[in-house]
Amino acid sequence: MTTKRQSAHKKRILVADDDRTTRFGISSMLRDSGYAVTEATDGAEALGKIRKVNFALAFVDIWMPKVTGLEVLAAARTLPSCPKIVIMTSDKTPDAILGAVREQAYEYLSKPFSPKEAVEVAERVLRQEAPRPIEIVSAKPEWVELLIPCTREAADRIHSFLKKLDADLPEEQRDTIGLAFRELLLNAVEWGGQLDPNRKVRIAYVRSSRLLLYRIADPGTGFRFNKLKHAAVGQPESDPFTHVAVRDKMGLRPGGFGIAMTRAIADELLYNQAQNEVIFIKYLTAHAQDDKTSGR
Amino acid sequence: MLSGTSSRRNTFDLTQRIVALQISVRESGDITILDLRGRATISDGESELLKSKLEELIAKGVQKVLLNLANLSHVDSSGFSVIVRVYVSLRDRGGDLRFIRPCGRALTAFNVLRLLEVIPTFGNEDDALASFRPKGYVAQP
Repeated sequence: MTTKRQSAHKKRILVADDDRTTRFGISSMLRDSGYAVTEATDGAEALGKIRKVNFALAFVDIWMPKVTGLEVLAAARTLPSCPKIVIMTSDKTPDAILGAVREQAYEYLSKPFSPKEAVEVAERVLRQEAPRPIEIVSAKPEWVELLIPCTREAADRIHSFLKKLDADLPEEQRDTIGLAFRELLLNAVEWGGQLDPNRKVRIAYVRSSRLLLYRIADPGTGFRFNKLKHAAVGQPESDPFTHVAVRDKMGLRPGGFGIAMTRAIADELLYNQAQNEVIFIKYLTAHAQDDKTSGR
Repeated sequence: MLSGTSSRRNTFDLTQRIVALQISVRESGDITILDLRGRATISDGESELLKSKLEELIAKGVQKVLLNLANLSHVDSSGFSVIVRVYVSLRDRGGDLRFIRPCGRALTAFNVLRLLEVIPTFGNEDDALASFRPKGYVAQP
């Protein structure tokens, strides 16, 4: 505990929010956890402090007077030493979310969140190495296309952003789609990309009124279902847990249920011939009809 | 240029949502109860933590395990794998694993894999503990 506190004490964190209650709440929790915290009451002040002080991390609200959080992010990226930036907001519009992705925010923290969650985010973000950039191919709300490095950290970051684009879906549907997307993405970076940060996974998220589609293309050579002895999907229905022992023997990390879960969630799950690209489709018929009824 | 007004409401979720996995271990007779709080996913090594804790208990000779999933917020393929592995291991040794029902996102994930149809699951601790007793005293799930 002492070591952790001593280590945390060296880390400087900026908390920028024009709302005093928010700023005070987050700052107090971070200080109690041993971090050196500086506060800024607007975007201009935040940017000025980032230019002067070498922060490891900054929590930045999007909507602040004078200079917005996204403008702080854009300006900070041009500096020789840019902190990891966590965007905070209750604005869940696609423009805000995609703006944060476009400007390479490290994470997007939706209000409301617990003060403890802010500390946990700080601990997690500070543990991780400097992130490799995420390349934006398209950032339209109905068509997002990205190239991400093959790391679990990048997969988790993108998952945290993209799931917020589905905020209008019923909670259970949103959760199951998010679960499926995360499993497919982790398979792509781990198995296809071998967790090599120099390799890229291409992700497309397409949203129409009637369907949601993910296309994930990994840089690997593909796979065959009948060779997946270490996955639940490769086992007979009568004995769906055999793969767990196989994974143990192979020394693989716990897992092997990803494709089985994704198959159960998807309306359609299509692989290309090599099986290094997959398309996940979820039809949103009821949702689309609701929209039509409400005149959206 | 983006413009707009500051959001001043609902900054904090005072339910004190826990993100990382916390495991509390307690006993009721010969039954070991693990209360799981937070997430059992691969992201920050939570699944490995759960695996280590369960392996440690099994190595000590624990035979009957009740996993309280009521406060589990997230679970993924890695978390399921750990739980299934322990379930199989305990059954092979003549032991057993049972659940107190998850809720929210975790329940959604368990339902996707239909794991609650395989591993005996109960709505509360009393019923779950009673289910471990000899037949004739078994509460209905």
